[in-house]
Amino acid sequence: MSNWPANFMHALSEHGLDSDSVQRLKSEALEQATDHGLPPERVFGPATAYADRLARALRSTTVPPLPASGKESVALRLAGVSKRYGRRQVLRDVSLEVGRGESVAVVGANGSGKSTLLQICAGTVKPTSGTVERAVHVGYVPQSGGTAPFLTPSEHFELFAAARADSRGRGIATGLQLAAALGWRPRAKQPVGQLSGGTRQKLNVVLGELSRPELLLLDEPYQGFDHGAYVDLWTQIDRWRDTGTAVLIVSHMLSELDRVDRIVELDAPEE
Amino acid sequence: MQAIAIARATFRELSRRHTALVMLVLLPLAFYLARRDIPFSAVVVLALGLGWAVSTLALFSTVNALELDGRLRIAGFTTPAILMGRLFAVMLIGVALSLGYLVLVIVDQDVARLGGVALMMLCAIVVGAPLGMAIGLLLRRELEGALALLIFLATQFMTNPEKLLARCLPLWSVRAVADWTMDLGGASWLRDGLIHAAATLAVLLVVIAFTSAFRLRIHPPHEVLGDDQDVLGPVGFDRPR
Repeated sequence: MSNWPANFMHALSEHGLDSDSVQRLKSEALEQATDHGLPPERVFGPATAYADRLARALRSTTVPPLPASGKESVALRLAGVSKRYGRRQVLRDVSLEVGRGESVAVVGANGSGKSTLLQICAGTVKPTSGTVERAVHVGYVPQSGGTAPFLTPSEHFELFAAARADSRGRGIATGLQLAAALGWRPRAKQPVGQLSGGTRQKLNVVLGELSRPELLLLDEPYQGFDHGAYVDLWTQIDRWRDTGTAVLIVSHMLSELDRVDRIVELDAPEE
Repeated sequence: MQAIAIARATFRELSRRHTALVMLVLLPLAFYLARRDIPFSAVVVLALGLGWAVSTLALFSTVNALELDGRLRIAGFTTPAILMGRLFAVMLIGVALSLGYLVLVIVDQDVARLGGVALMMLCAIVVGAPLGMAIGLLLRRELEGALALLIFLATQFMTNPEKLLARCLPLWSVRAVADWTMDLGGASWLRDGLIHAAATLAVLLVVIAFTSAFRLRIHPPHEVLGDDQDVLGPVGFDRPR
């Protein structure tokens, strides 16, 4: 038999709630269950799922949005972009635009060049032909990797904050706030190498956002996410968009694509 | 500030790799103990071992950080800040190691010129660190890089320092300064050694500059989209919300 109160408290802590709030919510839940004369799992369902719903409901009112830029303009424009590696054509004649305050999804079969397209947008890969126009400040979230396994999440926040000459304290505070918006409270001394795959990916998302980019490039950023984190990410994408950030997301989760403004489909790779 | 942030992160990472740190200390020490009964040779292999340890450290730090460095470049870090920050951290660790070994030499050996021993170690660090970084940037993989270092440094160990081949290898300066330190050669050996170290350092920095310009390059956009441009683009663009 599961220990519902302990699981509930643990899940709430994992979502970044402080110990007083955790205790209070547990007491309230148990009181309600007692009032109904039923065990809490019968009233609220699984502890982790209920904690997840509660934490998200609380966060939606407590996490302040990023400041809106108030600009309406294009942050990314590709015209006739193609990429070829040797004889292999990876991308052919891709044109797209992403405006500030707009989210665009890129979909396509495996090998259709989605990740290459994002790397071209970020500037790490040069297109064989075509033009790329983009905003100055770009955030990039890779599918995986791109972190230092022996550093803690806070040390990553500190490091990335130096990109924009932010103080170490400000970088850590901003990073922790952004992590909380994804339902994650980093532990002070836990190195990244000891984090689960999903939590490491949350770190990647926070690092992409930390430098306050005008254009955010997300390459299937939800690898290893549980359902709650996945929902949180899309809520976060809505928030970025509402505050004027241009978001380009590579996704294969077609069920959520109604949440973006436009979809760009890449052609299947040549046989 | 960016270079300091990189140096701090590099220190933190290395300080948590306890086993690697122990190995780092043991490598030159093992060489020294193997030749302890031949005083001149013991000090030379100690300094060469230090160069080997430092170059290996730089190699692995560089290769392991390549993905992270790419993200830092996108976030706004400059390539010189990333590389100089890391190089500085590795060299400082090398200096800290060399201080310990210097004490060992003072206690355990009868050396004519102690300053010369310090100079040998400095040459090993100043050349070893950029050597490891250059190989890491060129080859981008740990095994290939470690084997390349092995080729350079093992050959350096085994080649007669008076042969041309030895002079073409990166740590020849250590052998040359050693001859002056042990009173086996005149001041010309010291001069040649220091010139060799400076020239090797210059060549390695050029290699680092060229390879990093390729590896960590952010291709500039054909046009930067600023704040004052039109809302609507030229091709079928929906007005943002």
